[in-house]
Amino acid sequence: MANSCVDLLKSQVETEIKAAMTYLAMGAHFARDTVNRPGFSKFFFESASEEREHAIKIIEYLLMRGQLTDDVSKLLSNRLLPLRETWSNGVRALTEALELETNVTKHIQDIIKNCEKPNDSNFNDYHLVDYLTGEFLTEQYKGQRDLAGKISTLGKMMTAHGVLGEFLFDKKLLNNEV
Amino acid sequence: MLFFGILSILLAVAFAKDTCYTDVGAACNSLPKLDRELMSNCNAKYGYTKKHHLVDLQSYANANIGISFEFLLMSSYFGNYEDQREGFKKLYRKFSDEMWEDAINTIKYITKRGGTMNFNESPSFVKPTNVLELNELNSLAKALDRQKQLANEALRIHSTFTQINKEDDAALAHYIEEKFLEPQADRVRDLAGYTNDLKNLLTDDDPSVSIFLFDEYLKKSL
Repeated sequence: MANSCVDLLKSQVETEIKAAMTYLAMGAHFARDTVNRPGFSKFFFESASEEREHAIKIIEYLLMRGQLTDDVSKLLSNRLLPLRETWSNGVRALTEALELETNVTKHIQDIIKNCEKPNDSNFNDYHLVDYLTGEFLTEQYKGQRDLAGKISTLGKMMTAHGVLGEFLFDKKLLNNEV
Repeated sequence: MLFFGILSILLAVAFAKDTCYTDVGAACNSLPKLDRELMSNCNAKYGYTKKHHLVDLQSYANANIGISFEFLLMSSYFGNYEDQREGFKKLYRKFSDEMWEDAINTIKYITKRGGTMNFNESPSFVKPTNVLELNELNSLAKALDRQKQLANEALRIHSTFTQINKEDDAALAHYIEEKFLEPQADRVRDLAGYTNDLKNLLTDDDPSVSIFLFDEYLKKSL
């Protein structure tokens, strides 16, 4: 594998974990007694664990391709923090989640571009590019579509009914009904 | 009878100052103020959490997150083609998953008792390490130390509110006992056993076969 390609793939591990941390903070925010949105909280805690799984999938891929023989400690920095710890409402959090996912997708696209034509080698990494396109981009686009759909539904429910809309949406989210 | 009636009403008024019920009553009888001011007593804080923030649990959750990532990287190292120890990989991955779940559950418990999570509350009882590329025996020693640090801190947190602050919050005590103290005792004992087994196996001239067999045992027993 080309060095620049490996470096980018390694940095993706931290990108995924950082996203996980922000989702964790979202889960914590919506679990508060004064916020009380158990559906949102559950959704974001699950998203956090999903992002962590993505990071592990990338690590597994690197291991499969013979990497990580001497430098695993550099994969993650010591203290990884969420972007923020409070959100004004459900729509704001979902919108930020969508931005987060869009950002992750952009990172993956950059890796694909580089690994197809690395600056430092002639090696076109067909397999990695195929894996990232097939597995990761599919999941990213599905996730982004899901969030966009949720933002639309919640937005519509809140235009006329405000807090009641968010209350109802939250209960639907809790039972996986939206 | 009448006297007791009047007395109980007076008592109810006197003791009701900082309750949610009086907040709601005041809110409905006055001009709108800020939501937060209106119902500041309508929260889930009682017992220990009525007077204290759960700062220790916040930093404990953060410690679990950090240690979960450490175990994840330790596990990954044993998965590379040169080290190739699937048992060790599986053991540390299991710890990583468990610490991650513990962190999430701690956050949920903090919010259950009316608190908020602070991700900036860094744990002072655990120092982050930069070397995770360890051999088999060293990694077991490191894992054992980490689990003991977590167990000791859980004991300390437990004693903070049972002994030092004299708050008899059985709910909080039970949570820590059930979710941390019990599983941690098992983890510490398992790791101590593994460490001693492996150390004794290494006395052979060529320990390669011993380590191979021990790794295979770990993989099958988990």
